[in-house]
This record gives sequence, C-alpha cells and structure tokens, in this order.
Amino acid sequence: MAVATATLAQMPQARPRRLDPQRLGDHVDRLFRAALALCGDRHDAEDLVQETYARVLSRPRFLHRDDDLGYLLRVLRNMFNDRLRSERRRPLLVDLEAAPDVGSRATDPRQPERGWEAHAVLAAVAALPVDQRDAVVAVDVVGLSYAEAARSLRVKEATLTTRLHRGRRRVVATIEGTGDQEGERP
Amino acid sequence: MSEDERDTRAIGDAIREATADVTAPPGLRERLARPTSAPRRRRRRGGAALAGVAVLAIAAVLIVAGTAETPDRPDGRLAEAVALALSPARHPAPGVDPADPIHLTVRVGPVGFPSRVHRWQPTGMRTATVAGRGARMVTYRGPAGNAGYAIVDAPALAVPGDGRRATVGRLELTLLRRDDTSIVTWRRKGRTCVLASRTVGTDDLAAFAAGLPYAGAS
Repeated sequence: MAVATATLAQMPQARPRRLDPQRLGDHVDRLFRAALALCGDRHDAEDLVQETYARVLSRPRFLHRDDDLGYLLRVLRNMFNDRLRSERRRPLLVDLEAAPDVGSRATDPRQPERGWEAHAVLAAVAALPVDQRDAVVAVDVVGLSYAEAARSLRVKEATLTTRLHRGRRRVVATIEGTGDQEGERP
Repeated sequence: MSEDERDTRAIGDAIREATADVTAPPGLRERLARPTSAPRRRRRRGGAALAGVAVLAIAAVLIVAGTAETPDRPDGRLAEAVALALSPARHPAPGVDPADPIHLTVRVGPVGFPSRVHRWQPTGMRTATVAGRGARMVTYRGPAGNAGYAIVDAPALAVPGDGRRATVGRLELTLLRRDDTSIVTWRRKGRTCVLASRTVGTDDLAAFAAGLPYAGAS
C-alpha cells in the first residue's frame, strides 16, 4: 500500500492546478455556442453563460488537468439541467431566426451538405435526446477531443462515441426534414 | 476507426463549420465584464475578494479580446427587443420603489417600469442584452392577457417605418403588427421601450404605455 501511495504522489497530473480566471475569456464564444445548442434561445443562452461564469468565479477552482473548457462545459451543462429541473419543462426551441428553407432530399451521411445555416444546426442539436445532444455539443459544437468530452460528461469514451454518432445522424435527419423529432414550440 | 465513426465524421465537420462563426454577442461580454455579474453570496472575506479579483481579471481579458459588431439591421434589432418582451420571465416581479411608488425598483438608466397601470400588474422580470445593449423586461398581467415590457439601454434602436404613429400625452408611439404579435414602441430619455403581446391589441398596449385605463378595444 505504501508503494502505491508513493507512486500516486509522484504522478504529476495528481497535483491540482488552480483555474486561471484570466484564461476564461478565451472560451466565451465556444460556451455561448454550447449554450445556444442547449437552450435554443439566445436570451436564455446569454443568461446561462453569465450564470456559469458567475458560479465558476465565485470561489477558487482547482483542476487536475489542463482542461478548462471541459470543466466550464460541465458547469454550464449542470446549470442548464438545474434550470430545466426547476422549470419542469423543455426549453423553447428555434427562436434564433426564421426557419431556413431546407430541401427534403435525403443526404448521404458521409457527404452532408455544406453551408448549413448555424441556427438550423443549433436548433437540430437542441432537439436531440439529452445524451446525444450533450455528446454533439461537447465534440462538434465546443470542439473538445473525445477524451476531453468523455471526462467532461463523466462517461466512457466508447459510450460517448456511440452517442455522438447517433446524434450526428439525427441532426442530418432533422435538418434534411426526414427526422422524427419536432421541438416544442411556444 | 469504426464504420460508424467513418460515416459520421463528415457530419461532425459540417456541424463545426456551420457553427464556427457564432460568437458571443458584445452585450454578453459587457455583462461578464461587469463586477456586478457575480451573484450575491454569503460573506466570506477571502472568497469574495478572490471572486472580485477574478471578475476584474476576466473583464480585462474580455476587453482585450475585443467584440464582434453585430450586423446593422434596424428591424432585426427591434425584433430582438420584441423577442425579449415575449420571452418568459426568469425572476419574480420586482417590488415597488418606496421612494417613487409609481415605479418598480428595477430601472434601465433613468427609465423605470410602472408599478401598476390601472388593471395591469407586474408578474415577473428578466435581464438580457439586445443588440449589445443592456435590457430588462417585466411581464404584466392585464385584463385582456399578458404583455411584456422591455426597456433597452441607449443608444435607441431604429423603428421600422411601416408602423402606425400615435401621440398620447407626451409619448410618440409606434404601433406595429407582426404576425400574431401586437407591438408598441417608443423612446424615452434615449432608451427604447417596447410593449409586446400575443393576446392584447395594439390600442390597449398604447393605453398601457400612456398610463390610460384599459379600453377593451382592438
């Protein structure tokens, strides 16, 4: 046991590192995109990012890895889930712009249409089942690696990968008008 | 690499490409840069001081990072204010200002929200940004339905030219209809005020704006 303890103590990543508030400003855009993909409403997204920063900055934070963005995304997601629980309803969807005029033709998922509109993509992501949505937000919207996203969401990489692929396919189906999901409307 | 991963990697790239240009609005950066953006917390000297330093530090970072100007679309900007007025409240209604009982405690600059206009009562509030400006919205319940009252900080937003103009007292109102939404907007001390509702007509919103009794018209 003593050997094991000594080994752990020697591991450099075991030493916590204090989150540097000065580096948080680098992540505002990506967190805002994530919030939009979660909320589907720009005002809610702004509130969510602001509340996330306020919570993170309310006391010193110590991380074991150089993974500020993954940590911020986890806080953002937790706050969003808290808000959902308190409101006991799904968020309003597709409040970004008028719905785009998309065609209904099927698309080969290996060759998706380029030039998708951001609001259509974010609305489609917001309408995904929760697990798939979180995976797509972490990897494709925020830009985390699979390993970082898995840590942020506290799931295994294999689980994340499965959810990610299912979510991506469903995003295509929604944008192309072949999906079976409709977001709630006000 | 699995078959699934090969199949959907291009979709991930397309999602990333489509959303890469979405940036945080300047108003959000300003809100984050404000020391008051941190919520009120229990007093803990060390933590509070540290949080203050942290907020100031991030303010400096955000200012250095700069802001991306949103496109200048006057109708679009007013539409943002209307969207705010129609959005659900996030907090309980503010109280009546004891020093100025005809207004609520919440203000945008010098412009306050009415505490009670005849049969209209405040029911909730929300804070947001509109076109990079600070904004607040108070929801009211009235005799014919609910309405949202948004005040957007200066400089004033442009008003579409296709609205109906009305002068009520000292107010120069613009009355608009957009789909199923009634909108009344006016300027006060450089701020933009917007009343919007899906159930109340423009004439009754105009009466509300002017502090007149509910007409039951429109």
